[in-house]
Amino acid sequence: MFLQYVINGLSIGSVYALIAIGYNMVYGILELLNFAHGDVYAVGCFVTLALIGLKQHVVVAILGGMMAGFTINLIVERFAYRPVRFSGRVTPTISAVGIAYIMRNIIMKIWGPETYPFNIGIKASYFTVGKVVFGTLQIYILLIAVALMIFISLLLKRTKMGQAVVSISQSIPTAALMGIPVNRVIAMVYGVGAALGVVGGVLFCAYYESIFLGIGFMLGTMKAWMSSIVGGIGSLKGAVMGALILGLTESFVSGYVSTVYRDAYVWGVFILFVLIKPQGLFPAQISEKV
Amino acid sequence: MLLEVKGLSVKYGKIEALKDVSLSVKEGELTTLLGANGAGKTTLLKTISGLLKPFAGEIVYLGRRLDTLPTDAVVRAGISHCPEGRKVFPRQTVYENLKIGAYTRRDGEVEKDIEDFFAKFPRLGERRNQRAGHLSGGEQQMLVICRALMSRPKLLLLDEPSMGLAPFVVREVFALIQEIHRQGVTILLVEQNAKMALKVADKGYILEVGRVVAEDSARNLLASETVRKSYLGG
Ligand SMILES: Nc1ncnc2c1ncn2[C@@H]1O[C@H](COP(=O)(O)OP(=O)(O)OP(=O)(O)O)[C@@H](O)[C@H]1O
Ligand SMILES: [Mg+2]
Repeated sequence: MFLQYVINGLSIGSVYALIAIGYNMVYGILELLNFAHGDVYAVGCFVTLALIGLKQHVVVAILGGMMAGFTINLIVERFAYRPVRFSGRVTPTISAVGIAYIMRNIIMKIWGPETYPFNIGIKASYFTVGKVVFGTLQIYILLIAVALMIFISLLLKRTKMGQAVVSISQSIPTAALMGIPVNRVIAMVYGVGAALGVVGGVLFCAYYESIFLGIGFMLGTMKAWMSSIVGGIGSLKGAVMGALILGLTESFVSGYVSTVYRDAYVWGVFILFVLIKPQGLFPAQISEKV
Repeated sequence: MLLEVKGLSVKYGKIEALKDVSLSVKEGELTTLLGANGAGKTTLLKTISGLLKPFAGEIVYLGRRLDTLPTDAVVRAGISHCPEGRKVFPRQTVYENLKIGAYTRRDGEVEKDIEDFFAKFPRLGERRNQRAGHLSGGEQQMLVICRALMSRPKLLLLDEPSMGLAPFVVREVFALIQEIHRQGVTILLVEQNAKMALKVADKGYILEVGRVVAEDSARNLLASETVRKSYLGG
């Protein structure tokens, strides 16, 4: 059974990783707890749902959802975050909470509070290797998540834009002195973060075969936040490792302890972890910030 | 004139850090800006590079108003500002630090320039794949100056490049500044080490609590009685 829990934990953990990457990068750059992250990508997931409903190909539907998330965050960054970027820590956080409410109300207005079936057309077939059961969907989720994470880390390491993001996350004024158009790059990080969040959210909904209003905050922002705290705020590596650990913990708790009280136990583990290692597993990032 | 600052006033909230400052930098010259702690030297450089916006006055560069431009446009116009305190990007490698310095460039000679710097400073070359945060203070200072040159600037703004370095490293830094100057880059050098700065400079300005109190050729400033008393240690 152990191996089965590992597989389950890694596949849900990699979904959390996609959700956490955008969240953690924004935190790394702006030290902003982006409380709107989940609700912004939730809108993108509902757009994907709508496009699937309109008989679009699933790839088109997901790309459409990503575009929606990307565009929303470009607008939100410009009008809700940029004007308050240097107004301390509280104001931008309040701004983010406001955006989260607006997004939730948009979903409420259009789709209401009900739960919809969510199906991205991958047949949930299963096969077994030894005693371990693999779902095809699980394999897809794992592959897509891993591919996107490799893609993002290559983007950060190897492209000019990616290196600009890495520089900005260390010092905004010094990055500006390199000639980097800081505002434009930060807006891009928001946009790409939301688009990745949409992929994570869509895979999450596909995993549970349903979608509802709550995927944004409870299952998105909170998990992204927990992953980032565990992994270490501000880095790609921290987001991914924290998310995988979160996924594994959830899987082990439901497997060995209790399914019903899973979240309570996971929170217990989380709080214990924060008490022991408050900076997370990869804490170097922020302390080196100039 | 390559750069002209006219009647510049800059405020931090209610504190006026620069008051009616005028200064000009001639093409090809090394101009130095001296002054005690808190005189406003860094504030002036930050305003030139667009990190701060003036409250009054203007900055003209090659006949164009500069004070309305964002920092990235200032860099693209040919001004590179090497900030005080050796601001390397500590998590990026030595190589990546140099490469990001060329962010505004579109030509194909970036790699060649990086290799040239590595040839000239073998200690940086040996550490090309190490994080810049792990370099010594002197190596970091060399790195940030090279990084500032990677944009191939016309005008280089240097903020206290000798601060906190051992004497033999300070000599190395000054030798590099003179070499950059010889290659035709115009330099505005902010320093607390007035003697060394005036020895390499063509012209000097002295700033006291936000005002220019003296402006002359470097030679005359070195010889002047008042400057000798307050800035050159008697
Ligand atoms: N961010 C800021 N907020 C408020 N006041 C500031 C700020 N930065 C600088 N000042 C003030 O403006 C004045 C000029 O500071 P500035 O850093 O330009 O001086 P400086 O000549 O570069 O000094 P140093 O030799 O110590 O680097 C000082 O009185 C300083 O306290
Ligand atoms: Mg200064």
